[in-house]
Amino acid sequence: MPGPRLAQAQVADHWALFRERLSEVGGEVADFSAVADCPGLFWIQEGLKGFWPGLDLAADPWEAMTGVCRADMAVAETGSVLFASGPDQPRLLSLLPPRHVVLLDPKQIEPNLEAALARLDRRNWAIVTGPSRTADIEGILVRGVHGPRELIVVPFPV
Amino acid sequence: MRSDFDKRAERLPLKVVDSVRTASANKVQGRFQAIASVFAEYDSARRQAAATKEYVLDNLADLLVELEASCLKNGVQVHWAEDAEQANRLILGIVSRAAPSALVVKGKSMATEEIGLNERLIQEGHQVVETDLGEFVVQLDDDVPSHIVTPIIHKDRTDVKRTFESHGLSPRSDEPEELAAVARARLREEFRRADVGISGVNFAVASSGRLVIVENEGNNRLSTTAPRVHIAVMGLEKVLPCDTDLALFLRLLAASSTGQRLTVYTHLVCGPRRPDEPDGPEEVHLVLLDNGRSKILNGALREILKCLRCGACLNVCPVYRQASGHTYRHTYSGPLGAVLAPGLDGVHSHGALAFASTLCGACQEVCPVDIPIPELLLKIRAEVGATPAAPWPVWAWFAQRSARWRMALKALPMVEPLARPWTEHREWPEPSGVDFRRWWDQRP
Ligand code: SF4
Repeated sequence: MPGPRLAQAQVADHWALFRERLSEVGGEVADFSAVADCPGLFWIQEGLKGFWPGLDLAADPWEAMTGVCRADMAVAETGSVLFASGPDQPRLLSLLPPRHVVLLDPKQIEPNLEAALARLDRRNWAIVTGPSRTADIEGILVRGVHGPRELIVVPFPV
Repeated sequence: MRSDFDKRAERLPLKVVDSVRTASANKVQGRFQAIASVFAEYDSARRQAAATKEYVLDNLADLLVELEASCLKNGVQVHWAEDAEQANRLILGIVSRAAPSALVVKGKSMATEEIGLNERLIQEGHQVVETDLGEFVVQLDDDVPSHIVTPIIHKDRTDVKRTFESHGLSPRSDEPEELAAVARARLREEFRRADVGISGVNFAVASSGRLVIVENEGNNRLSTTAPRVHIAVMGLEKVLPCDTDLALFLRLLAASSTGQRLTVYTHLVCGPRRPDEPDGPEEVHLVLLDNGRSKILNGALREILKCLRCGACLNVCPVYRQASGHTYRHTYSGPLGAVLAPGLDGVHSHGALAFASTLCGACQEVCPVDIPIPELLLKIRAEVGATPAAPWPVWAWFAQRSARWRMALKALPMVEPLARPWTEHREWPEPSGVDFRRWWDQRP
């Protein structure tokens, strides 16, 4: 059964729409070079450590200020990044550090949620749409209540 | 006639009424905008969602058996609980096996609220910490949530600051930003030390066994990732046939409950940590909770089992807005609660809630799965039987004879005082001065 039609976005390509929707939910896009400038200790996915040899790594992940990992997929329509648990994809990395830097290969962007869900395998997946937020007190938006306060996506073609 | 509900609602402090009214009005606005920007054909989206839910209810037993098989294949342990007592005992067993006096962190879950799980765990010597910001405040206050999505909708920042202070937390100001930071720092320690994490489930997919949990804060994900054991508690009706059904429901839920395109975190749990994975729980348990649901399934209120717990009907309900959640005296409040509470616990304990409605129909209008709540309320009213004395027989006696009718019209101003409870808050219509018969006779 075909799903109901969604409101059409007026944007040509997936990356542009992803970028727009990500900023709507409070995330941002930055350059590769910006990663090294983040203050505090880092928690970096094993496979990526070679890109930043000089950075201070946190001995205890709970102490890290910046987490860096690769996204396993993304959704343009919602500005979401997806992570699948695996040997080199700790689930807590996208959750504990107050700043989360995500490297995204633009080819991994699916146009919409339907397409992304159709690609899920049997790992544990997390769909992350913007930084952590709450509006529990007087409906006022506060970011970073339990998860990251900043979500930064860096285009990273493989 | 004043019901207990009315009396409780009247005793609410003005400040609470204001908080609830403002917050729910903002939520109504947020929902409206989200739906307009997400869906080009909202009506067909909601018809499709309702039809999928109808299918689920028609095939519930089969889908649950399929879900169980898929979960087992994923390495998730499945438990069936017929009622609250059985569910609590089951969960207690898992928790006690994890640690004799365990630290349990909880993500927001109405199902565990419904069975009174926290009290039971605490009675048996475990420590339970609610980690959703609103639920954390509710727990410190020894209170209960007043809204299924926004547990402290009845409180403002000064209330929260006071609560924190009386529990040894010292926020520097009453800014929501600061209050959230204090809670974050405090709860981090708990996540780190916790033995068991307990969550609810928003959707469970029969064909893949995926347990889907949505949230905005990240506490749910922390609760279900950091501790060694994860227990997910789910009402039977939350099952969906396939993964492809998820997109529509995730969108409808996010737009209807918090006015978002998608909730910040959507976790798709497909089993415990694998041997080569660095983190995640070693055990995942799914508790399938009946607790009155199969009785509802076979009765007149069956359609309430389509509910997604989005809270949209609460926000839009003129009675909820004025009365707030606690007045309903049940885990589920608002129009949803007025049907579900008597459904789960019997019309004799909560049937009176069906009268706490103007039958204006706003609840059905905003419901993402088109549940005919007003119709269900009428069914409960009929079953309770105690319809408030209708004035129609009296009216009929006067209306049947023209002499009596004329007499009644003349006497009308005299009975006005009888209508005081009605006219206190409403205008008494001004008579136009001349009655219809005279006007008819004298017309040119
Ligand atoms: S009855 Fe409908 S509107 Fe109310 S909470 Fe359930 S799904 Fe939402």
